[in-house]
Amino acid sequence: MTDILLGVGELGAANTPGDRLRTLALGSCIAVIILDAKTKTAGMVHVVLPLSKTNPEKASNLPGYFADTGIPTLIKAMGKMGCNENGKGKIVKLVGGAQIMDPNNTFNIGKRNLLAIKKILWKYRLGVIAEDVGGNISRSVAVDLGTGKIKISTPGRDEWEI
Amino acid sequence: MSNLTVTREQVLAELNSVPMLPHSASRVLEISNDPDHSMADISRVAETDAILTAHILKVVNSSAFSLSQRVDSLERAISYLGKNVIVGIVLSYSLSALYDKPLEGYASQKGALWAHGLRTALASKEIVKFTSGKHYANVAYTAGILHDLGKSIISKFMDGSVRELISSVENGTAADFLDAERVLLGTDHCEVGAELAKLWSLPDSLREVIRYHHRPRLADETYRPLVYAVHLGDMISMMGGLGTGADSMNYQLDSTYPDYVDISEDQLTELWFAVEQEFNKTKSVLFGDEEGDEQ
Repeated sequence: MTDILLGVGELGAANTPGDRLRTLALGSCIAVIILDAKTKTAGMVHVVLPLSKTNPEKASNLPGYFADTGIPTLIKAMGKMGCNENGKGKIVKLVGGAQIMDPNNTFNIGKRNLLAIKKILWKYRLGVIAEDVGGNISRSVAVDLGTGKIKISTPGRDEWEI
Repeated sequence: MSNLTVTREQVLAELNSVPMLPHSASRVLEISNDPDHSMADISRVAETDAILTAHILKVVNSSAFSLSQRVDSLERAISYLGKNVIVGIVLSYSLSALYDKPLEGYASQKGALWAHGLRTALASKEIVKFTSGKHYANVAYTAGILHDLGKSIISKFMDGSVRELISSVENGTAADFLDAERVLLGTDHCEVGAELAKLWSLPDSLREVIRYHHRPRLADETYRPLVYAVHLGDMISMMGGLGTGADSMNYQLDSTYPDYVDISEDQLTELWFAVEQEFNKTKSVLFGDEEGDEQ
Protein backbone atom coordinates (compact mmCIF):
# COMPACT_ATOMS: atom_id res chain seq x y z
CA MET A 1 0.00 0.00 0.00
CA THR A 2 1.59 3.24 -1.13
CA ASP A 3 0.53 6.77 -0.31
CA ILE A 4 0.94 9.09 -3.27
CA LEU A 5 1.13 12.55 -1.77
CA LEU A 6 0.25 15.37 -4.13
CA GLY A 7 1.61 18.81 -3.24
CA VAL A 8 0.07 22.18 -4.01
CA GLY A 9 -0.73 22.36 -7.74
CA GLU A 10 0.30 18.76 -8.39
CA LEU A 11 -1.74 16.05 -10.05
CA GLY A 12 -1.52 12.29 -10.23
CA ALA A 13 -3.36 9.12 -11.17
CA ALA A 14 -3.05 5.55 -9.99
CA ASN A 15 -4.74 2.18 -10.46
CA THR A 16 -3.13 -0.16 -7.92
CA PRO A 17 -5.73 -1.36 -5.42
CA GLY A 18 -4.74 -0.45 -1.86
CA ASP A 19 -2.80 2.65 -2.87
CA ARG A 20 -4.03 6.04 -1.77
CA LEU A 21 -3.89 9.45 -3.42
CA ARG A 22 -3.55 12.14 -0.78
CA THR A 23 -3.34 15.91 -0.59
CA LEU A 24 -3.09 18.13 2.48
CA ALA A 25 -4.47 21.37 3.88
CA LEU A 26 -6.58 22.53 0.94
CA GLY A 27 -7.81 25.85 2.37
CA SER A 28 -9.46 27.63 -0.55
CA CYS A 29 -7.82 25.20 -3.00
CA ILE A 30 -9.95 22.41 -4.45
CA ALA A 31 -9.09 18.74 -5.00
CA VAL A 32 -10.76 17.52 -8.19
CA ILE A 33 -11.05 13.74 -7.97
CA ILE A 34 -11.90 11.72 -11.08
CA LEU A 35 -12.74 8.03 -10.80
CA ASP A 36 -12.85 5.80 -13.87
CA ALA A 37 -15.02 2.77 -13.13
CA LYS A 38 -13.93 0.61 -16.08
CA THR A 39 -10.17 0.76 -15.46
CA LYS A 40 -10.48 1.35 -11.68
CA THR A 41 -8.21 4.36 -12.03
CA ALA A 42 -8.38 7.39 -9.75
CA GLY A 43 -6.92 10.77 -10.53
CA MET A 44 -6.64 13.89 -8.43
CA VAL A 45 -5.47 17.46 -8.98
CA HIS A 46 -4.85 20.07 -6.24
CA VAL A 47 -6.16 23.24 -7.91
CA VAL A 48 -4.99 26.55 -6.39
CA LEU A 49 -6.37 29.25 -8.68
CA PRO A 50 -9.04 29.38 -11.40
CA LEU A 51 -7.28 30.61 -14.53
CA SER A 52 -3.81 30.04 -16.01
CA LYS A 53 -3.73 33.53 -17.54
CA THR A 54 -2.57 34.66 -14.06
CA ASN A 55 0.80 33.09 -14.77
CA PRO A 56 1.19 31.15 -18.05
CA GLU A 57 4.79 30.19 -17.18
CA LYS A 58 3.68 28.53 -13.97
CA ALA A 59 0.87 26.83 -15.87
CA SER A 60 3.33 25.20 -18.25
CA ASN A 61 5.58 24.00 -15.41
CA LEU A 62 2.81 22.96 -13.07
CA PRO A 63 -0.49 22.73 -14.99
CA GLY A 64 -2.37 21.40 -11.96
CA TYR A 65 -2.04 24.77 -10.27
CA PHE A 66 -4.88 26.23 -12.32
CA ALA A 67 -8.34 24.81 -12.99
CA ASP A 68 -8.29 25.46 -16.75
CA THR A 69 -4.98 23.64 -17.30
CA GLY A 70 -5.15 21.14 -14.43
CA ILE A 71 -8.29 19.26 -15.38
CA PRO A 72 -7.39 18.68 -19.08
CA THR A 73 -3.88 17.55 -18.02
CA LEU A 74 -5.31 15.14 -15.47
CA ILE A 75 -7.70 13.67 -18.03
CA LYS A 76 -4.76 13.20 -20.43
CA ALA A 77 -2.69 11.55 -17.69
CA MET A 78 -5.57 9.17 -17.02
CA GLY A 79 -5.82 8.54 -20.76
CA LYS A 80 -2.25 7.20 -20.69
CA MET A 81 -3.45 4.69 -18.11
CA GLY A 82 -6.12 3.37 -20.42
CA CYS A 83 -9.08 5.63 -19.59
CA ASN A 84 -11.14 7.36 -22.26
CA GLU A 85 -10.00 10.94 -22.73
CA ASN A 86 -13.56 12.15 -22.52
CA GLY A 87 -16.17 12.17 -19.82
CA LYS A 88 -17.49 8.70 -20.51
CA GLY A 89 -17.71 6.39 -17.49
CA LYS A 90 -16.15 8.85 -15.11
CA ILE A 91 -17.26 10.01 -11.69
CA VAL A 92 -16.15 13.37 -10.30
CA LYS A 93 -15.98 14.46 -6.67
CA LEU A 94 -14.79 17.80 -5.31
CA VAL A 95 -13.31 18.69 -1.92
CA GLY A 96 -12.08 22.03 -0.50
CA GLY A 97 -12.81 25.59 -1.61
CA ALA A 98 -13.20 26.94 1.92
CA GLN A 99 -13.23 30.60 2.76
CA ILE A 100 -12.59 32.90 5.67
CA MET A 101 -15.60 34.55 7.31
CA ASP A 102 -16.28 37.27 4.80
CA PRO A 103 -19.91 38.27 4.31
CA ASN A 104 -18.99 40.39 1.27
CA ASN A 105 -17.18 37.51 -0.46
CA THR A 106 -14.27 39.77 -1.39
CA PHE A 107 -11.68 37.13 -0.76
CA ASN A 108 -13.64 34.14 -1.94
CA ILE A 109 -11.05 32.41 -4.10
CA GLY A 110 -12.63 29.10 -3.09
CA LYS A 111 -15.88 30.02 -4.79
CA ARG A 112 -14.08 31.30 -7.91
CA ASN A 113 -12.16 28.03 -8.08
CA LEU A 114 -15.38 26.06 -7.82
CA LEU A 115 -17.07 27.99 -10.63
CA ALA A 116 -14.05 27.66 -12.92
CA ILE A 117 -13.78 23.92 -12.22
CA LYS A 118 -17.46 23.26 -12.94
CA LYS A 119 -17.24 25.20 -16.19
CA ILE A 120 -14.32 23.09 -17.41
CA LEU A 121 -15.93 19.84 -16.28
CA TRP A 122 -19.00 20.86 -18.23
CA LYS A 123 -16.93 21.00 -21.43
CA TYR A 124 -16.10 17.34 -20.88
CA ARG A 125 -19.75 16.71 -20.04
CA LEU A 126 -18.71 15.67 -16.57
CA GLY A 127 -21.10 16.29 -13.71
CA VAL A 128 -20.08 16.31 -10.06
CA ILE A 129 -21.74 13.49 -8.14
CA ALA A 130 -20.49 14.43 -4.69
CA GLU A 131 -18.81 17.43 -3.16
CA ASP A 132 -17.67 18.67 0.21
CA VAL A 133 -16.88 22.29 -0.50
CA GLY A 134 -17.08 25.75 1.06
CA GLY A 135 -17.38 26.46 4.75
CA ASN A 136 -14.52 27.69 6.92
CA ILE A 137 -12.41 24.56 7.33
CA SER A 138 -9.18 23.53 5.67
CA ARG A 139 -9.53 19.93 4.51
CA SER A 140 -7.08 17.11 3.78
CA VAL A 141 -8.13 14.28 1.45
CA ALA A 142 -7.29 10.63 0.92
CA VAL A 143 -8.68 8.62 -2.02
CA ASP A 144 -8.59 4.86 -1.51
CA LEU A 145 -7.91 3.21 -4.88
CA GLY A 146 -9.38 -0.14 -3.89
CA THR A 147 -12.73 1.09 -2.60
CA GLY A 148 -12.97 4.46 -4.34
CA LYS A 149 -13.83 5.94 -0.94
CA ILE A 150 -12.81 9.49 -0.27
CA LYS A 151 -11.87 10.33 3.30
CA ILE A 152 -11.74 13.91 4.48
CA SER A 153 -10.05 15.19 7.62
CA THR A 154 -9.44 18.47 9.40
CA PRO A 155 -7.82 19.11 12.78
CA GLY A 156 -10.09 18.65 15.80
CA ARG A 157 -12.84 16.63 14.08
CA ASP A 158 -13.54 13.01 13.21
CA GLU A 159 -12.77 11.91 9.67
CA TRP A 160 -15.72 11.67 7.26
CA GLU A 161 -16.37 10.24 3.80
CA ILE A 162 -18.01 11.30 0.58
CA MET B 1 -17.95 24.75 27.70
CA SER B 2 -16.43 22.04 29.84
CA ASN B 3 -13.52 23.94 31.24
CA LEU B 4 -15.32 26.47 33.40
CA THR B 5 -12.62 26.52 36.04
CA VAL B 6 -10.11 28.42 33.91
CA THR B 7 -10.10 32.16 34.47
CA ARG B 8 -8.49 34.99 32.55
CA GLU B 9 -6.20 35.61 35.53
CA GLN B 10 -4.96 32.02 35.49
CA VAL B 11 -4.17 32.23 31.79
CA LEU B 12 -2.33 35.54 32.19
CA ALA B 13 -0.43 34.18 35.21
CA GLU B 14 1.04 31.57 32.86
CA LEU B 15 3.09 34.37 31.30
CA ASN B 16 5.26 34.45 34.43
CA SER B 17 6.67 31.06 33.55
CA VAL B 18 7.56 31.99 29.95
CA PRO B 19 11.30 32.52 29.52
CA MET B 20 12.38 36.06 28.69
CA LEU B 21 13.43 36.79 25.13
CA PRO B 22 17.25 36.54 24.84
CA HIS B 23 18.83 40.00 24.92
CA SER B 24 20.34 39.58 21.46
CA ALA B 25 16.92 38.73 20.02
CA SER B 26 15.24 41.83 21.53
CA ARG B 27 18.05 43.98 20.17
CA VAL B 28 17.78 42.50 16.66
CA LEU B 29 14.01 43.05 16.69
CA GLU B 30 14.49 46.60 17.93
CA ILE B 31 17.10 47.36 15.27
CA SER B 32 15.20 45.79 12.39
CA ASN B 33 12.17 47.81 13.48
CA ASP B 34 14.10 50.99 12.73
CA PRO B 35 13.84 51.84 9.00
CA ASP B 36 17.36 53.37 9.06
CA HIS B 37 19.13 50.29 10.37
CA SER B 38 22.08 48.69 8.60
CA MET B 39 23.21 45.08 8.33
CA ALA B 40 26.35 46.04 10.30
CA ASP B 41 24.12 46.99 13.26
CA ILE B 42 22.59 43.52 13.22
CA SER B 43 25.99 41.89 12.87
CA ARG B 44 27.31 43.74 15.96
CA VAL B 45 24.47 42.38 18.07
CA ALA B 46 24.62 38.83 16.71
CA GLU B 47 28.36 38.51 17.39
CA THR B 48 27.75 38.98 21.12
CA ASP B 49 25.69 35.79 21.17
CA ALA B 50 27.64 32.62 20.43
CA ILE B 51 24.60 30.39 19.94
CA LEU B 52 22.96 32.83 17.56
CA THR B 53 26.23 33.18 15.62
CA ALA B 54 26.43 29.39 15.33
CA HIS B 55 22.82 29.24 14.03
CA ILE B 56 23.47 31.87 11.38
CA LEU B 57 26.65 30.16 10.17
CA LYS B 58 24.89 26.80 10.11
CA VAL B 59 22.13 28.16 7.88
CA VAL B 60 24.44 29.92 5.44
CA ASN B 61 26.58 26.78 5.13
CA SER B 62 23.59 24.48 4.76
CA SER B 63 22.80 22.62 1.58
CA ALA B 64 20.08 25.15 0.74
CA PHE B 65 22.76 27.54 -0.51
CA SER B 66 25.28 25.08 -1.99
CA LEU B 67 28.14 27.54 -1.53
CA SER B 68 31.44 26.48 -3.03
CA GLN B 69 33.36 27.85 -0.02
CA ARG B 70 32.51 27.69 3.66
CA VAL B 71 31.48 31.04 5.16
CA ASP B 72 33.09 31.61 8.56
CA SER B 73 32.58 35.35 8.87
CA LEU B 74 29.36 36.44 10.56
CA GLU B 75 29.28 39.71 8.65
CA ARG B 76 29.52 37.93 5.31
CA ALA B 77 26.91 35.41 6.37
CA ILE B 78 24.49 38.18 7.36
CA SER B 79 24.96 40.16 4.17
CA TYR B 80 24.53 36.97 2.18
CA LEU B 81 21.36 35.84 3.93
CA GLY B 82 19.61 39.21 4.01
CA LYS B 83 17.64 40.68 6.87
CA ASN B 84 14.43 38.70 6.50
CA VAL B 85 16.22 35.39 6.82
CA ILE B 86 18.29 36.77 9.72
CA VAL B 87 15.13 37.87 11.55
CA GLY B 88 13.69 34.42 10.83
CA ILE B 89 16.79 32.73 12.32
CA VAL B 90 16.75 35.00 15.39
CA LEU B 91 13.08 34.28 16.01
CA SER B 92 13.29 30.54 15.34
CA TYR B 93 16.16 30.35 17.82
CA SER B 94 14.60 32.49 20.52
CA LEU B 95 10.98 31.30 20.19
CA SER B 96 11.72 27.58 19.90
CA ALA B 97 10.32 26.82 23.38
CA LEU B 98 6.98 28.36 22.36
CA TYR B 99 6.77 27.54 18.66
CA ASP B 100 8.33 24.08 18.36
CA LYS B 101 5.55 22.10 19.97
CA PRO B 102 2.16 20.80 18.93
CA LEU B 103 -0.68 23.03 20.11
CA GLU B 104 -3.11 20.63 21.77
CA GLY B 105 -5.79 23.29 22.25
CA TYR B 106 -5.87 23.85 18.49
CA ALA B 107 -5.31 20.17 17.58
CA SER B 108 -2.37 21.31 15.50
CA GLN B 109 0.94 19.63 14.79
CA LYS B 110 4.45 20.69 15.64
CA GLY B 111 5.68 23.17 13.06
CA ALA B 112 2.23 24.43 12.05
CA LEU B 113 2.52 27.69 14.01
CA TRP B 114 5.89 28.39 12.37
CA ALA B 115 4.70 27.61 8.87
CA HIS B 116 1.62 29.78 9.37
CA GLY B 117 3.67 32.64 10.86
CA LEU B 118 6.27 32.58 8.11
CA ARG B 119 3.69 32.58 5.34
CA THR B 120 1.80 35.40 7.05
CA ALA B 121 5.09 37.32 7.36
CA LEU B 122 5.87 37.05 3.65
CA ALA B 123 2.32 38.02 2.65
CA SER B 124 2.16 40.94 5.09
CA LYS B 125 5.48 42.34 3.83
CA GLU B 126 3.97 42.49 0.32
CA ILE B 127 0.52 43.72 1.35
CA VAL B 128 1.91 46.62 3.36
CA LYS B 129 3.16 48.05 0.02
CA PHE B 130 -0.52 48.64 -0.86
CA THR B 131 -1.03 50.84 2.22
CA SER B 132 0.14 54.28 3.33
CA GLY B 133 2.60 52.48 5.63
CA LYS B 134 5.12 51.29 3.02
CA HIS B 135 8.00 52.03 5.40
CA TYR B 136 6.70 49.20 7.60
CA ALA B 137 7.80 46.42 5.22
CA ASN B 138 10.44 44.99 7.59
CA VAL B 139 8.19 45.34 10.61
CA ALA B 140 5.35 43.62 8.75
CA TYR B 141 7.57 40.60 8.21
CA THR B 142 8.57 40.34 11.89
CA ALA B 143 5.01 41.04 12.99
CA GLY B 144 3.75 38.30 10.70
CA ILE B 145 5.95 35.71 12.38
CA LEU B 146 4.93 36.91 15.84
CA HIS B 147 1.22 37.66 15.37
CA ASP B 148 -0.09 34.38 16.82
CA LEU B 149 2.39 34.28 19.71
CA GLY B 150 -0.49 34.07 22.21
CA LYS B 151 -1.70 30.75 20.83
CA SER B 152 1.35 28.98 22.24
CA ILE B 153 0.38 30.20 25.73
CA ILE B 154 -3.39 29.65 25.75
CA SER B 155 -3.31 26.32 23.91
CA LYS B 156 -2.87 24.18 27.02
CA PHE B 157 -5.90 25.79 28.68
CA MET B 158 -8.04 24.76 25.69
CA ASP B 159 -6.83 21.15 25.64
CA GLY B 160 -9.90 18.91 25.85
CA SER B 161 -12.24 21.71 24.75
CA VAL B 162 -11.47 21.71 21.01
CA ARG B 163 -14.80 20.20 20.00
CA GLU B 164 -16.78 22.63 22.13
CA LEU B 165 -14.86 25.54 20.65
CA ILE B 166 -15.62 24.31 17.11
CA SER B 167 -19.31 23.72 17.93
CA SER B 168 -19.75 27.13 19.47
CA VAL B 169 -18.57 28.72 16.19
CA GLU B 170 -20.68 26.36 14.07
CA ASN B 171 -23.88 26.87 16.02
CA GLY B 172 -23.36 30.62 16.15
CA THR B 173 -22.90 30.93 19.94
CA ALA B 174 -19.53 32.49 19.15
CA ALA B 175 -19.00 34.90 16.24
CA ASP B 176 -15.68 33.30 15.33
CA PHE B 177 -12.90 31.24 16.91
CA LEU B 178 -11.45 34.26 18.72
CA ASP B 179 -14.82 34.87 20.32
CA ALA B 180 -14.99 31.18 21.27
CA GLU B 181 -11.61 31.49 23.02
CA ARG B 182 -12.93 34.46 25.00
CA VAL B 183 -16.08 32.60 26.02
CA LEU B 184 -13.98 29.70 27.31
CA LEU B 185 -11.07 31.54 28.91
CA GLY B 186 -12.18 35.14 29.43
CA THR B 187 -9.31 36.13 27.14
CA ASP B 188 -7.99 35.24 23.66
CA HIS B 189 -4.71 34.61 21.84
CA CYS B 190 -4.49 38.27 20.79
CA GLU B 191 -4.70 39.70 24.31
CA VAL B 192 -2.37 37.09 25.81
CA GLY B 193 0.16 37.52 22.99
CA ALA B 194 0.10 41.29 23.46
CA GLU B 195 0.68 40.88 27.20
CA LEU B 196 3.70 38.70 26.48
CA ALA B 197 4.96 41.28 23.98
CA LYS B 198 4.67 43.89 26.75
CA LEU B 199 6.56 41.68 29.16
CA TRP B 200 9.27 41.26 26.55
CA SER B 201 9.29 45.03 25.88
CA LEU B 202 8.69 44.50 22.16
CA PRO B 203 8.16 47.72 20.17
CA ASP B 204 4.64 49.23 20.14
CA SER B 205 4.21 48.43 16.44
CA LEU B 206 4.60 44.69 17.07
CA ARG B 207 2.37 44.82 20.14
CA GLU B 208 -0.41 46.51 18.20
CA VAL B 209 -0.26 43.84 15.49
CA ILE B 210 -0.31 41.00 18.00
CA ARG B 211 -3.25 42.56 19.86
CA TYR B 212 -5.40 43.68 16.93
CA HIS B 213 -4.58 41.45 13.96
CA HIS B 214 -8.15 40.13 14.02
CA ARG B 215 -9.71 43.53 14.78
CA PRO B 216 -7.47 45.98 12.90
CA ARG B 217 -10.00 48.82 13.10
CA LEU B 218 -9.32 49.01 16.85
CA ALA B 219 -5.55 49.50 16.47
CA ASP B 220 -3.83 52.79 17.18
CA GLU B 221 -4.19 55.03 14.11
CA THR B 222 -0.38 55.31 13.70
CA TYR B 223 0.02 51.57 13.19
CA ARG B 224 -3.27 50.84 11.49
CA PRO B 225 -1.88 50.35 7.93
CA LEU B 226 0.59 47.82 9.35
CA VAL B 227 -2.07 46.01 11.38
CA TYR B 228 -4.42 45.79 8.38
CA ALA B 229 -1.56 44.41 6.28
CA VAL B 230 -0.93 41.61 8.77
CA HIS B 231 -4.69 41.03 9.11
CA LEU B 232 -4.87 40.34 5.37
CA GLY B 233 -1.56 38.44 5.37
CA ASP B 234 -3.01 36.16 8.04
CA MET B 235 -6.12 35.59 5.91
CA ILE B 236 -4.02 34.73 2.84
CA SER B 237 -1.96 32.31 4.89
CA MET B 238 -5.15 30.61 6.13
CA MET B 239 -6.63 30.47 2.63
CA GLY B 240 -3.48 28.71 1.48
CA GLY B 241 -4.41 25.98 3.96
CA LEU B 242 -1.87 27.02 6.54
CA GLY B 243 -3.96 27.78 9.57
CA THR B 244 -2.79 26.49 12.87
CA GLY B 245 -5.35 23.75 13.41
CA ALA B 246 -8.93 23.42 14.59
CA ASP B 247 -9.51 27.18 14.34
CA SER B 248 -8.86 26.74 10.61
CA MET B 249 -10.44 29.63 8.66
CA ASN B 250 -12.97 30.54 11.34
CA TYR B 251 -12.03 34.20 11.62
CA GLN B 252 -13.81 37.31 10.38
CA LEU B 253 -12.38 39.48 7.63
CA ASP B 254 -12.57 43.13 8.73
CA SER B 255 -14.73 44.66 6.01
CA THR B 256 -13.13 48.09 6.50
CA TYR B 257 -9.80 46.89 5.05
CA PRO B 258 -10.26 48.77 1.71
CA ASP B 259 -9.99 52.02 3.71
CA TYR B 260 -6.37 51.11 4.45
CA VAL B 261 -5.28 48.58 1.82
CA ASP B 262 -5.79 49.49 -1.83
CA ILE B 263 -5.49 46.13 -3.55
CA SER B 264 -7.45 44.63 -6.45
CA GLU B 265 -8.48 41.03 -6.79
CA ASP B 266 -5.92 40.49 -9.58
CA GLN B 267 -3.14 42.04 -7.52
CA LEU B 268 -4.12 39.81 -4.66
CA THR B 269 -3.94 36.71 -6.86
CA GLU B 270 -0.48 37.68 -8.15
CA LEU B 271 0.67 38.35 -4.63
CA TRP B 272 -0.64 34.98 -3.45
CA PHE B 273 1.44 33.35 -6.08
CA ALA B 274 4.65 35.25 -5.30
CA VAL B 275 4.22 34.61 -1.58
CA GLU B 276 3.90 30.88 -2.09
CA GLN B 277 7.16 30.69 -4.05
CA GLU B 278 9.00 32.81 -1.49
CA PHE B 279 7.54 30.71 1.31
CA ASN B 280 8.83 27.42 -0.10
CA LYS B 281 12.27 28.95 -0.59
CA THR B 282 12.53 30.56 2.86
CA LYS B 283 11.10 27.52 4.61
CA SER B 284 13.77 25.27 3.20
CA VAL B 285 16.50 27.79 4.14
CA LEU B 286 15.29 28.11 7.73
CA PHE B 287 14.18 24.59 8.46
CA GLY B 288 15.60 22.35 5.75
CA ASP B 289 13.21 20.40 3.56
CA GLU B 290 11.32 18.75 6.40
CA GLU B 291 7.56 18.59 5.95
CA GLY B 292 6.18 21.33 8.17
CA ASP B 293 2.94 22.27 6.55
CA GLU B 294 0.71 19.37 7.38
CA GLN B 295 -1.79 20.87 9.74
